[in-house]
Amino acid sequence: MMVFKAAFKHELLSSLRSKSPQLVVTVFLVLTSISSIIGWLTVRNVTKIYNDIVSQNLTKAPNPFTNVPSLYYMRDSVIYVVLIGSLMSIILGAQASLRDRKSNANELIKTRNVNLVHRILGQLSAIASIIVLLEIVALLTSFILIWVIQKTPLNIGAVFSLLGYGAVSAILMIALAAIGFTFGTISKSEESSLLYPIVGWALVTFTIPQIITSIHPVALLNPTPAVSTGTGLAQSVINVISPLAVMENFKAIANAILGVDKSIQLSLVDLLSFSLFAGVGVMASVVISSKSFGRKLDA
Amino acid sequence: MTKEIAIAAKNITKNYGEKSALNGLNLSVNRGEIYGLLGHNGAGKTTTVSIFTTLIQPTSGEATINGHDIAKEASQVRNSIGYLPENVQLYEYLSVFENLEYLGKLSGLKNPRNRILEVLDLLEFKSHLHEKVSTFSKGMKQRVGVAQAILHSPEVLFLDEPTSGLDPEGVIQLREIISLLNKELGMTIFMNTHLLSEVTKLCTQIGILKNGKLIYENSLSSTIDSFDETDSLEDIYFKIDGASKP
Amino acid sequence: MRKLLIVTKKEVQDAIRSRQALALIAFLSLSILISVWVASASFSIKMDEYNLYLAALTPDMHSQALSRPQLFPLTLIRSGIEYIEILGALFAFIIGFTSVSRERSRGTSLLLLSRPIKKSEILLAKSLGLLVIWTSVLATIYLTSIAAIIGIGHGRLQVIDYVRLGIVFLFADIYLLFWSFFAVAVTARLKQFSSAILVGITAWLMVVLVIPQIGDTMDPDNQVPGGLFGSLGIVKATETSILAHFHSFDVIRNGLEVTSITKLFERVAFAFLGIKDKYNQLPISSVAKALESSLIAVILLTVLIGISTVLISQNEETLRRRS
Repeated sequence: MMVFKAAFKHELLSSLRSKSPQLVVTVFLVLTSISSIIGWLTVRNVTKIYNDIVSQNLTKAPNPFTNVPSLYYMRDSVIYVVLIGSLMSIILGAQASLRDRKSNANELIKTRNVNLVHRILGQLSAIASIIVLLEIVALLTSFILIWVIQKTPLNIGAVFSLLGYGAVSAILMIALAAIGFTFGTISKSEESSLLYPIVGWALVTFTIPQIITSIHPVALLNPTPAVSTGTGLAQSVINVISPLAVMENFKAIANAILGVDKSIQLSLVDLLSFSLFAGVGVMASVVISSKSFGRKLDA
Repeated sequence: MTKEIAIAAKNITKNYGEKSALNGLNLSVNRGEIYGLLGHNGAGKTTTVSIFTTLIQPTSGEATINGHDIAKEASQVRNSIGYLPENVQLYEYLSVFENLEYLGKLSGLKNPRNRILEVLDLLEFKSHLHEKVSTFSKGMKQRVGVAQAILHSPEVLFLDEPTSGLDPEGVIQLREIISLLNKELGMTIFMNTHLLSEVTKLCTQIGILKNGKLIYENSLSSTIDSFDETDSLEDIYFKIDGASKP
Repeated sequence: MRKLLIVTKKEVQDAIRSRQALALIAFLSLSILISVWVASASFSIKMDEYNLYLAALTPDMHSQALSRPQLFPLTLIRSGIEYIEILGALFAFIIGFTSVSRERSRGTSLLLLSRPIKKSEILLAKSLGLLVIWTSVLATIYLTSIAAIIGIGHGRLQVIDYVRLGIVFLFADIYLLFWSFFAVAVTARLKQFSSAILVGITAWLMVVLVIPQIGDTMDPDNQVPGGLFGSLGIVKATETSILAHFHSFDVIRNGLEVTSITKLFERVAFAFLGIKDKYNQLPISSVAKALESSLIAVILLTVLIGISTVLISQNEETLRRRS
């Protein structure tokens, strides 16, 4: 327990002292806020266009934005978690383990009687705390912005949805930080410790969903999960590789929780594959990182 | 007869923000000397060498190497100097030959092969020509470091803490090499060190740097002569430095 | 000049030795192959559906049947281009970053800087090396694309198609160089590598993903499934006249999009490949004229970032060993 506490405190201190997390927090918060504001401006613009059309008697259809759910403005933040949150978490994790390797502090730890699993758990918990803190600030910002935009605070149900969404986002980011941490421990160089997990992220975010759905990579940046337009791939193959499309699973879960798109329901398969990814990601990170602890970086 | 000056610094200051690393440094080294610059950690030794080797510019003041101004004639300065940084790092994935070929060409040698063999022969390292640097001990790397520094036959050689981290055998070997370069090839050598034993065994002239200022400069023999017979160089150093000997 | 080429040569040799170039060729080729395979499979499905539709028509209705879907072979590599846009840029940054960070963290930059070669020449040589690396990678991808379109997509290419594809890959080269040059500048100048990585990744996120995405979000037609005007039953002519009232919003949206070199490159690529319908089958000169400002902007931005790379070499901290 002492090792865990010491590692936790040390990691928290080191991470907060380096500029990286500060930049992560700033970028993430600014973009999440911008996404709400842009969404609001667009809805306002669309409503103006709609009113213009109605005034010319060109349509009798209702305004598509009447009765939009209160969390509608959170829609784009889903994609920012997939893009910014994910990459920043990978970097945060990789930098944490690289820090010790670059300064050769690992040598000092190796010569002590330290339980490596406890130490790594302490480090990962500190990173997780930073991510949770970041997520709390992001949610609070969104809550205030939506309050300002709608001139009324979110109701209790929406607050719970927001919290649920925040929790799922944090889980995704923590798992990715753990994966980044592992690559920071095992890679031969600083470059490869970033290159490999980022390539993996790219495969999971773009290539696998594209193979499954035939949706173009740019269209996959849509905050709602992709719907297959047919790839000619056998359903059995799709069933096997679908759980690997972690970001699509996350998008589906996040959208279901936020209730932005009524057609998206919480699916057990998505939930299971997502939990499996997060659980295995963190566990594998602890096991691999403790076994490979102390590897030297290439000069 | 006046001796030719190889290295000269006139009133050099170097500031890093608010912090002053060099504070009016005046120094001169005659051709053919082995000059040892002594000082505590943080006294400004590496900053001094970095200025002479054109790696950084002084905030004010002038410095010349073989008469060439380090700011205005940086290219000529670089042509006439060799530099061995502290804990020299080489391209680990390349062989000795590949490292030296690349750095030699950048020093202007059109076909450096023969010169590489000649230098390695001098340093008794020819047998390792095609071995990768990553497999070498620190002492072996230091030899390749010296080889890269003298490949283009520079007139002045700068060594930053050359024996740092070497084992006693490595220290002796490097000392022999430095002596050889000075005596056989007539190179002027400027070395930073905090090891008094190096200075005693190698240098002809010493300077002591404190808080970015040269507080003492003289030949080694005059230095030893001008103090008590019983004083060791260590005692002398502490007397000049003004610090009490621990 | 000679010394410049020596550093350039080593840069290229290092890329080959580290297998980075190979990994890039492998990944981008794979993405092209997958994109052509997925797109041609999609097209076959569309053709099958069309044939079923035709079979369901009575003979007298055949004259009024919808037109047969047409395959424009160059459009098959759309996803491949998007991979270059998104991931190519990221890899380009990492390659540029590596080229400088290795030298600085090893401390070999000290050995280079104490030789008669200027910092600006070292950075220029590294940039030239990156030019050689990217041109070779993209030349290989160009050939892979042609092989994929013909082999997997069964597309028939005309001579003009090779030229169109060549122009797109030339601009892909310029686009990726922008990212590598940017990385060289940032990594040579900033003291901490982690800051360089974060600045790079943030810039990449903003330029490649966020700005285009905000642009998409600001498009009113993207806000409603099936398009806003479509869902309200508004015809194209009326849509244009209505949108004319909201010109300023569209100006802001477009203004935002053109600040992203990624969006500019996409416009160029999609126009020359005929992915954007209004440019499909237009002569190259007409496409070039219509896209003139985007073409110039992509080149200009890359040149500017290249120049700034050389300019930062004036700074003392540039290329020095990491403290």
